[in-house]
Amino acid sequence: MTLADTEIAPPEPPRYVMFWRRYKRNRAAVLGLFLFALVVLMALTAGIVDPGDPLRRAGEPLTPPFMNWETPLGTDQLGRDVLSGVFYGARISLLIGVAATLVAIVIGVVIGALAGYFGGWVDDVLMRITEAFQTIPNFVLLLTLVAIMGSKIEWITIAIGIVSWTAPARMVRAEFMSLRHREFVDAARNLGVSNTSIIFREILPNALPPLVVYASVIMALSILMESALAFLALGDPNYASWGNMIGQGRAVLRTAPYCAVIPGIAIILTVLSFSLLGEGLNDALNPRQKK
Amino acid sequence: MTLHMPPVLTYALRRLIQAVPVVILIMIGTFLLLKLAPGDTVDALVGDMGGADAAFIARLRAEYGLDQPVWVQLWRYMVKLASFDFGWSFVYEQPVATVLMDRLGTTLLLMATSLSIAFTAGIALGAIAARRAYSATDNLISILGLVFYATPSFFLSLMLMLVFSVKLGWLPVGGIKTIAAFYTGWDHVWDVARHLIMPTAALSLIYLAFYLRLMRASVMEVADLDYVRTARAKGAREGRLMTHHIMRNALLPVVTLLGLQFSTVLGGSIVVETIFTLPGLGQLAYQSVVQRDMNTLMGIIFLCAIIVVVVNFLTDLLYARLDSRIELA
Amino acid sequence: MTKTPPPVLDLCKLEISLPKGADRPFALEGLDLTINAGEIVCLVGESGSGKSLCAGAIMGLLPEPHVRVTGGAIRFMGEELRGKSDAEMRKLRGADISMIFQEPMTALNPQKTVGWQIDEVLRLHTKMTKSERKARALEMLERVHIPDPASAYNAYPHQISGGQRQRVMIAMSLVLSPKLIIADEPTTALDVTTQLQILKLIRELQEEEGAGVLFITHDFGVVAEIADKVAVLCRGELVESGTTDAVLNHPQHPYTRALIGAVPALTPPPVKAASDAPVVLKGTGLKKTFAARGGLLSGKRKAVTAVKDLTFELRQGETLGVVGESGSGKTTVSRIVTRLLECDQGSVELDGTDLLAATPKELRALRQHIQMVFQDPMASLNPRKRVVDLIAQGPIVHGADPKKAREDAKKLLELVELSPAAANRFPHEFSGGQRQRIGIARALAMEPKVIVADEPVSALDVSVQAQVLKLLADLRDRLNLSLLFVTHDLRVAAQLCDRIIVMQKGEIVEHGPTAEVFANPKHPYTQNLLSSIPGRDWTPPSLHADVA
Repeated sequence: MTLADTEIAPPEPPRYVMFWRRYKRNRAAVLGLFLFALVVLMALTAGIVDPGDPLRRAGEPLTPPFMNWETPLGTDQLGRDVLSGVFYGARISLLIGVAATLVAIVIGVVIGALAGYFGGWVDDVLMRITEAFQTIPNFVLLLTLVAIMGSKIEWITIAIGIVSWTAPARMVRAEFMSLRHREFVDAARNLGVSNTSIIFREILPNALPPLVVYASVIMALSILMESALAFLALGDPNYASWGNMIGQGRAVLRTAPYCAVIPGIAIILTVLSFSLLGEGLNDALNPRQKK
Repeated sequence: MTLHMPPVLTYALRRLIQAVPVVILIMIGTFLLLKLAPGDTVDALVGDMGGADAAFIARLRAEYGLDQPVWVQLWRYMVKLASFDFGWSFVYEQPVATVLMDRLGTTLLLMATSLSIAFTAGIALGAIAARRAYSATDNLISILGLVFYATPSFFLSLMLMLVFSVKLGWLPVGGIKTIAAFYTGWDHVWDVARHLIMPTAALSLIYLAFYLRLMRASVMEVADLDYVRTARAKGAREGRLMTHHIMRNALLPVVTLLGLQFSTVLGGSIVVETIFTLPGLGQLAYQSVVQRDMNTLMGIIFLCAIIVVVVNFLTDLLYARLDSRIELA
Repeated sequence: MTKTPPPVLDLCKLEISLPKGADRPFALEGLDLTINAGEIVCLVGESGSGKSLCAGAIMGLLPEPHVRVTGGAIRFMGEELRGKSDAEMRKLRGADISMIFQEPMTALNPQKTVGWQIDEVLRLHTKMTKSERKARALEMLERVHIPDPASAYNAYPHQISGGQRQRVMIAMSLVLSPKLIIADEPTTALDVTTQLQILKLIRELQEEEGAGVLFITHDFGVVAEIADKVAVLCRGELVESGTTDAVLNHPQHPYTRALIGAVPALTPPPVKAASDAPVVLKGTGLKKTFAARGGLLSGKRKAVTAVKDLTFELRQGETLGVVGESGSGKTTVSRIVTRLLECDQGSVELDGTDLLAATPKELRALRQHIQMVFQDPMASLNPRKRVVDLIAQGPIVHGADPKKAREDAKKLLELVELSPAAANRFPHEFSGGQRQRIGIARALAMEPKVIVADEPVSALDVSVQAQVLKLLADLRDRLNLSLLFVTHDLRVAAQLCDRIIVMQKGEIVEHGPTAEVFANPKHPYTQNLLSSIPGRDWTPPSLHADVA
């Protein structure tokens, strides 16, 4: 029995090991990771599975699934291969999901960080703008932006980003407001560290874990928004998209429901994988004392 | 200034005044969007008339004030919006305000029913799941919650339609009432209700999942707090802990989100109303986008914003009522 | 023939197991403890000793199944509590056994009035009518000396002060005259003057009721103040027990001896001859008011004056203590002199340069001369930086060669008695005391003229506290540092400070050499503070021989 306080505990394993240990404790999150890997794989191998244009006629229209090897998941009313639509759709969903999330996070971080760190009138002005954006129903705003800017995939991505930044901005602001009063920030200021350095080197890294978790939510919401746009025939018509497939499938819902059901399941599983991934990341990045 | 008002009124007034800058920002926003959109009112008008000569167009522009500096135009636009004058719809050949008011009732009805179902069922299921955390019941509720959360509203709508209209033939596929049936009295109410079952289900199931997850997390957090331990040490049983000590505190964050979430649900109604051909604001918004009816679209944005502000205000009042820590004065 | 009544509480070989992956298999191992009616028994231990879980086990409120009682007996009035059903335990809880918790801020439901929460106990355990219950609750509030019981009855917890909330907790636990009262650190979160009042109140009511009290604490001063018997826990094992006199004045076990040896004695250093060393830090006419944030129609709230007209001098090589209770403005002082907080009026001269008048650029250069050691060792080190980078950060910002700065950082780790081998670890891998050492090393890295220490040891266990204080004193003497030391703990102030300033509500009420102020306090507030120090009549025996 010693009371000396200078003895140091044995070193912990590296951070990524700890991270994975905490992550895999949540079994649902491991399933989420698996589903996510599957979607990524589909997006990557789309060109190998079907090297042609997924929008071309690949077989007899309305072939049901499991009837022939050429079109294992059947064809739609225009004879397009459902399987290759699903694979190429994964590409578009992920692409728009990632890019729109980046746009939303970048805007959100800048606005949230400024408002939370400086407070005062900066905070007042930025928060009123955020509230205004939050007050307008985001899907209405999205439709309006698409109506104004057109349906090109780049514009859709940016528009989804523009209607999604408010939630991360509020979150970053709240994190900054609580972190800027933490003593380590005072300590850095006391060492003479500049404001920009404090924002980006001291506070932001500590605000990142909840932000990363939240990014998975925005990713899921972006994919849902893109698919809804495509469903309403407002997406980019040059790309195969799950939402668009469901929209087209609606016309043959009575006779060939698989045309809508298969891409629908693809969307559900993708969004589900992001939700589960988010929960796992939350467990791994923000460990709380569990009893 | 010693006005003696009841504290609730002062509080309400303060919250309303805080909403003013937000509404002004939205006015400026819609004005900017209108300016960004290709073509202006005169272009639409001229298109409607099938063309006109340049001098006439210039005169029209002057008449509509489009030759004025931007600031003047903005000011006039804001004055008009403030008096609920949203301009003329060239698609419906009516003032936008009239078109909107025709549609408002349907949307509000849909919102009110689906949100109340989503909210009450969501918090009830969330609370049950949290109290039986990590049991089979909790797993079932949580999995259903996750799946509904991941389901796009349009897909859920289609699946409901496939099952209940196409396969079973129980419910009508769309519309707000049976056309040419001319029901009156309770028959009319029942007819509308039948038409609203699927859209309401589609909207509420998704947001139910949202409230469920939030409530579950909130109850679990509150159940760990010190004062719940105090109540246990007093000898209170679990049921009493839940009703008297946990629920009210756990509801607070959920109520906050009820207000914030309202605007998202309003957006979600676009898809559902379009699928079920309900003549509401959502369907109108979609049609306006397709037909490039910018005046109507801006009218919808502004009206929705006002509705959201009002709902937020009401939830604020509810919150203040629930949380005794908020001093109303 | 008289039959002695059974003890109120009799713990026999109590064993509580911890879940896998905890730092040890058992939270408590073979604890024997007896409490008789009318007795206050103090269970003493440092954080992690398992003392709070003991309370949970008696109440039947352990976070099962992870933590549960796996052996031994818990007898209450001769009756075994282990194996009782939930319903039977509920009947006992609140009525025969009651509990007072540490945090008065969070232990009351924020949404219910004080009266409702006292009433709940009566509703759960008695068949009294509504008016009888209300009368009883009011009587109880009266007994715990709440100024206006009728209005307190209708108040919400956030509307009354921390000390009053603890009185409400006590009223709530005593309303049914329980035979056993468990008090888990009930005064730790309170100011020293309030603490003494609450201790007196517990003593007074316990004597009236003849109840047995299990008093859990880490503070030997509190033990000296209140205990009849003492039991000392070390990592789940009972190392020593006996009467208060025996344990406090003649401790046998080395752990107890070390703990008691670490309690700072209330004997300040002898008065030094008036120093003629140069003044390094001088505050003149400092004033700080926190404006309540308000706007249109937001109601009028009074601005709070945190510091009004503060003037002081700190000489080279001297330690100046700033002492006061919460709300006295002492923390604001530490933030103003380092200009982490902008001040309304006055000047802070650092070696003759006014810090408050400096431009942002000048200020950043000046900062290296005045460094700070913070209160919370968890919060004051950026959790995402390695220790070596934390210490080297200051010199690098001020233009030192990064490589050399990191080398120096390792040397500084040695100076604060930590192994330089740990330089590449993250803060969470260190204990609280070690983190505070890192904080000190970070301040020293700048070779400052003045170090401002804001409650640097208040978050630490007493044995660690003693070691960190000793380190600070050693370094001060070796490096001829000038220290501005902010603390609420008069024992700590007595250990370290040459002179002290006593603050109350933003004003200096008394100042002078520590020994003089302690021996002969002039201001009534200082007198009150000094006479409120728990265990002030007990001088810890000198046991320095085996302090590690």
